[in-house]
Amino acid sequence: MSDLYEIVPITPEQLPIVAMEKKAQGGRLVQICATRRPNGYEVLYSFDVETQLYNYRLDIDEGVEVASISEIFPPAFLYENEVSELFGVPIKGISIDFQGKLYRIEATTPFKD
Amino acid sequence: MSKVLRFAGTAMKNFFSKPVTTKYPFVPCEYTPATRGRVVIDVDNCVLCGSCMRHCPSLAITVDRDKRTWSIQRMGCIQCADCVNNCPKNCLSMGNQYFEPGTEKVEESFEIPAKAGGASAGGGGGANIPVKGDDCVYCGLCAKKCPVEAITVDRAAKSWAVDAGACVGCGTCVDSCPKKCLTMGGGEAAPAAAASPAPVHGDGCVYCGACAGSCPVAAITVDGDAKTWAVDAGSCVGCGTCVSTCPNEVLSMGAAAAAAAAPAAAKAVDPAAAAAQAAIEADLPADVPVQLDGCVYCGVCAKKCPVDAITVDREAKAWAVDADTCVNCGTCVASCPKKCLKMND
Amino acid sequence: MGNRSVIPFGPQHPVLPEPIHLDLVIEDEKVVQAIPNIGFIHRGLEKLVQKRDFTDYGYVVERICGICSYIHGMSYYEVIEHIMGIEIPERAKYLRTIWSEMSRVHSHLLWLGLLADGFGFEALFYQCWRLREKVLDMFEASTGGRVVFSVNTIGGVLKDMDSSMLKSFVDIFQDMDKEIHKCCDIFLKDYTVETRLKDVGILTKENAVLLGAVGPTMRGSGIAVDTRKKYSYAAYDKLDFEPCVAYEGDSFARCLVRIEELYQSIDLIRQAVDKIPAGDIITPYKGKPNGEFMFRAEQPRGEAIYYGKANGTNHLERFRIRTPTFANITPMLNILAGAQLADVPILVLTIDPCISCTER
Repeated sequence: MSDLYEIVPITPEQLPIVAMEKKAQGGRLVQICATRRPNGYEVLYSFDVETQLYNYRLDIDEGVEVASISEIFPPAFLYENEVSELFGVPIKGISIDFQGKLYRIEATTPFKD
Repeated sequence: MSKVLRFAGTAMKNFFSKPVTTKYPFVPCEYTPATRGRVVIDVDNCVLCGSCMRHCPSLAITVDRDKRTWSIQRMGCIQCADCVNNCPKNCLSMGNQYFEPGTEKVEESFEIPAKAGGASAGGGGGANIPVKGDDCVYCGLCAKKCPVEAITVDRAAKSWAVDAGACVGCGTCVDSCPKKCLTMGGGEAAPAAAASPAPVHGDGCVYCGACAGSCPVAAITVDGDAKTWAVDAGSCVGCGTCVSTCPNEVLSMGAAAAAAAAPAAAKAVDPAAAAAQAAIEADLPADVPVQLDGCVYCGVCAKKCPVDAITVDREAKAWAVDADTCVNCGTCVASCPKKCLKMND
Repeated sequence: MGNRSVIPFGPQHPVLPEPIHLDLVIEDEKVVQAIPNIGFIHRGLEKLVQKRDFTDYGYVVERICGICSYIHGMSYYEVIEHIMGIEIPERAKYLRTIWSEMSRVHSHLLWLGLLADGFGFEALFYQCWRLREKVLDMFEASTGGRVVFSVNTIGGVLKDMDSSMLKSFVDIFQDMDKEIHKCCDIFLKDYTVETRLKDVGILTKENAVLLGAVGPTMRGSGIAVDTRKKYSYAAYDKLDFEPCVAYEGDSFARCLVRIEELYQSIDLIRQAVDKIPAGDIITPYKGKPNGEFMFRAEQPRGEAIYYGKANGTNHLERFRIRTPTFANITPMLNILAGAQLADVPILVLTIDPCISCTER
């Protein structure tokens, strides 16, 4: 069933536009997942519009800032806090920002190594 | 349904019937035949290959080849049966009784008896002591691995000796010698193995020796220069580690077959590169590994080095050997999957 | 304007099966805002991918949660099978379906018992968990474990259930169906239960979509979507069922959806046992996974997403689980706003929180 889930690569600037588009179509946010790759991250955003999954991937280097979509989709704040805390992806403008204290862990950005 | 005393029927039934709970521990608990209670080992079939130790997700099993023991931390075991499913000799099974709870963490150890012909009752085993061949480089690994410290090796004086009285004939020195120059002298021959599947050698082999290096019972012999590959079907335990180690996926498990390896054509040599290489090698001390072209900084040589003399930095693409620590055993040369190391002349 | 104070709820609380902390900003007994605080049970299990081979990591995934254990394990192996292109035998698909539905029955019975205990209706708690013991005994007889089954592997399942065992299970489930009907009829028609659940904690349909609710939380607000139906996996495309849905959006609707799902699961088990074909239960495979795949499964609490990425080595590069409770936390915060303080434990229970899945 992998042909149902094609992943479209986008840039950080296109992200808010894509999110607004999906919201206008009546979609919901499904998940935000980060993967570490050497010298950067891949952040995968998934939206569900009428049970069809749409996946978008951001391929960014370290230090590139990503805008938060928590104003567009309120549940995004939990995913974005998790991604910025565990991986260290700098996401700006999260509606409820836990400042790295969502999970009470001793190590900073443990999934980065 | 009336609104009064609706639960009364169920409540009265419960009041007058037997309790559903079992009065454990006074009444023993009944387990089903399929219950995964604890791991049980059949010591007679174990060959100490260590597959169970490598697969255990909670690292509860320890296999000590030198001491010939198999131990399990009972309180660490999560009863997942991963070891049982992966044992090549099927000597592990799941018993259906859980281990008794207690206040202390228990580690149970089992002695694995040696097979007939290999080891025997200790001292005076004149028939079953190791004999040194001509390829010995006096690296001293056999002496380090010997569980009873029966071997003495002097690198500077180039001497090797075994104390026949102390030797227990376990064969660990034979397994650990990187030059394969030890054999157990005299004594009975190794028993013919039950038809355990030995690996079959296919096309595409580069004679890197990674399979030989990874074999836990040292059943494979690879000669990179002569381009030969052979497996000793008698020692092979069929664990399949060589198959998964081979970087070119050349091996597969099958019926024991002698591999006839056709010698491959020698690599063409570029004279300019050869001259540059010769200049580098002249500066280095003899008998340490030197790096040729083609290194991918995978770090396998560093991992296999028994004395940790090699450092590899994959990010910085750096490779270095500490000539003082190096014992000239050549394990790195044999283990390089790209065949890009050689011992300096 | 009344006095505002902040009441901490959790992490230890009698109704919570797992620890979650909520800071409730209340104004004279009415909750104005709820701020969540999770992280008490974060074990970093997703990082363990780097340390355990892909063949052994399935045992880690199973142990993320004790209630949702089976479907986590099965979905991990489904992801690996899709990445490697392995087709599992039909019988294995049906066996996985049967075990998934049994897992759903045990999870919903557990939830019903906890909800009743939240009211103080301990007799129903006892009855539900006694019925649940029968399901756990069936699990032990067929897989070897009561809570964590370890019965899946790459290419199929490790243990088979022969036809006499399957028939005896169906008989036990038929008896259980009658007992559950008895208990639930009392529960759903009770005056106290109705007063506490009806018109309390309303989640509107628009909010359910905007806030990303999944599972019975979403179906209780009128959205008739079930991942087993829309995206079929295992043997669900061959079974006949419709998503259970209720339209009021209050706590009572969510409870009703789960109880309907209980009866539906027992029916699905009976259908699967009727249709199960004979055959192998495992397909052998070779090699290592290379690629990525996203899998959706219907956990008892909602839709769970499993994303796996492999690069041809022994270790996966990433394995990510988006559990249903992670998605349901935001709707929960929404329904808590405007609720009475005394209703908070029940409202938290109506989304069926499984915090150990959430935090991994």
